[in-house]
Amino acid sequence: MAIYTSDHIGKWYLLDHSELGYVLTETFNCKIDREVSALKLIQGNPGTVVFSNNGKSFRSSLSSDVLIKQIAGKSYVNEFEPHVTVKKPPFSEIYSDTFDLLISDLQKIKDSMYDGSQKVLPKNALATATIQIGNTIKCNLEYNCKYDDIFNVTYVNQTPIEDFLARTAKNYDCKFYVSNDDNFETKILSGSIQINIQYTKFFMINYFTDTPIYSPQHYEISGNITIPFKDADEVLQKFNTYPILPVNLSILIGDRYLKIGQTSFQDGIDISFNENMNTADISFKVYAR
Amino acid sequence: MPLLSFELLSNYYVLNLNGKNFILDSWNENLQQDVNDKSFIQGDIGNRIVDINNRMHQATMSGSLLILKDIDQDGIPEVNTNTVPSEKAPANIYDVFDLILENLSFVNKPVGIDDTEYPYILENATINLNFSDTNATATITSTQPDGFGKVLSIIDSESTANIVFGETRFIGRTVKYWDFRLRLFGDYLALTQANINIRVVTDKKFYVGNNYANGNENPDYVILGYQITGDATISLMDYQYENFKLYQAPGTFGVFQNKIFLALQNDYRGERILDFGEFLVPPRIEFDTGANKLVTARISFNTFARRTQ
Repeated sequence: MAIYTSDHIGKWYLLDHSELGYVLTETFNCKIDREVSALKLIQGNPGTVVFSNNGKSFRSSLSSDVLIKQIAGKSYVNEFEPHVTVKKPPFSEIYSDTFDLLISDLQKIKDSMYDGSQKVLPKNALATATIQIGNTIKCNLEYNCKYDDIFNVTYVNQTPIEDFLARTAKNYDCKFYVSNDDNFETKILSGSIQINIQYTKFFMINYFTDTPIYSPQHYEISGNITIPFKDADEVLQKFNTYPILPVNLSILIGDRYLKIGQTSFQDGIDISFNENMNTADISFKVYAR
Repeated sequence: MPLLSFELLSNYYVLNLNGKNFILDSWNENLQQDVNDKSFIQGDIGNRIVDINNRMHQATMSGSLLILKDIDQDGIPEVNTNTVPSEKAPANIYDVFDLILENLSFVNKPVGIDDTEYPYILENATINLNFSDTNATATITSTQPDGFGKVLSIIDSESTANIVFGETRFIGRTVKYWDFRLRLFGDYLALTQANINIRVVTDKKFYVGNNYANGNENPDYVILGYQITGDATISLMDYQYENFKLYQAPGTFGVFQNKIFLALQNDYRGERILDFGEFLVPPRIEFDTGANKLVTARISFNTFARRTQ
């Protein structure tokens, strides 16, 4: 075989999500971890002859730039040919991206914690989420489940897919709210948000499987922002004096809104003088409930 | 005075690639097998050990775009009076533009859906369009261990002006600026020149040996994508320059929209169309004015080349 057939290439696949349609992501990985340890027994030789298998777990992760799908109205040249037909660049509603997945699954997990009747399925078992905000907006998600729990991974053969075009979201598409105070002005060079959802793993007798059952327990949210400064005292005055800051911590990308928390507690300030621009890295924990 | 043997001149040869005869200005084939010195503690400062990279066969073919005509009426000699012009293109004679179109139609579909053979893959291609000349260059990479040996034959013929390519007799001319239509930014604009670059993104995959076989010296290939980019110089008035500025408003996505393509007209074989899709974005626009010269804008573009329903 001189050329690998296209079913070896990830680009020719679609990740079909039962609620969100086809999720567009740059990478999708699934890892199986099996906890294996060697047992040293009184066995007549110093080698390893017995292993202990303590169950396995799946971890699926997605990583991608967030996309802008809204279609702009004016984008054609009409001075030369007034009767040019305008056609909107296509973005079918059957596609979504990692940010859509985060908004949907985080809400489902929170709903289940506050309302026991709301169930979390394996495909919603979001474990960690990271949103990195800079020149581009990158969203990384990790799930405690196998790849086919989340998606039906479909190879696109002869039939072309439903059409879409999009661009990656940039800094100018994003609003990162870090304070409720309209007078709280700071230029944010970059920022990130970490969401960790804690699960307890249960290995159940009589289930006849070495795969655990997960139970979501609680979640923690932390973040940080990097800001430029010319006066370090001003930074300390703004962030160190009042470590508890009322916020509507949230991210707006295009027209999609992710609400994260109401109050943040500053837990670290890293002031850096260097040969380039002086920057301060402010990290905080978020009261999210 | 001794005469050089005709067999040593390229003009007397015809290039047949994968069963198709191509008329070219040049065919340049190379076998690339990089060799690097390796230094060891070896009791000598001489070169005794080398590292030899895996081999790769590539060929670059270039030529003008052509309009060709079969001068034998339906290929039947007795009917041919040479007074009635034939309206047929010669059978099985192609130019570089055909090679580009054919390969793009391969790579935009999944490999493996049929039994198509891929003895070579288009690596990149350039089409240059201007007032004086229209030509194309294409670089192809062989997927076969022995390079182009199995699919390429260079046939010597008696005369390129007479009987070539078997029994086909033809005449032709190069494509000129009035033979093609190029629609890029909304409609047919007054262009002074355009360059179109096509790139097929491939990766070479090597495997090491296993219990049954050795590893591969000649790589396997994966086709990962293709891109069409380029630039065009447009004659325009200064106020029209504003129309080419495309900004992205926060939260929205703007592109230039319309059918964009390069169409080569040819009465003998029909129109050949290189379709760029319906959308493009210009990453760079240069507005150029100067004394005693045309007011122009040179606009680079990236097209959304993709397979659609």
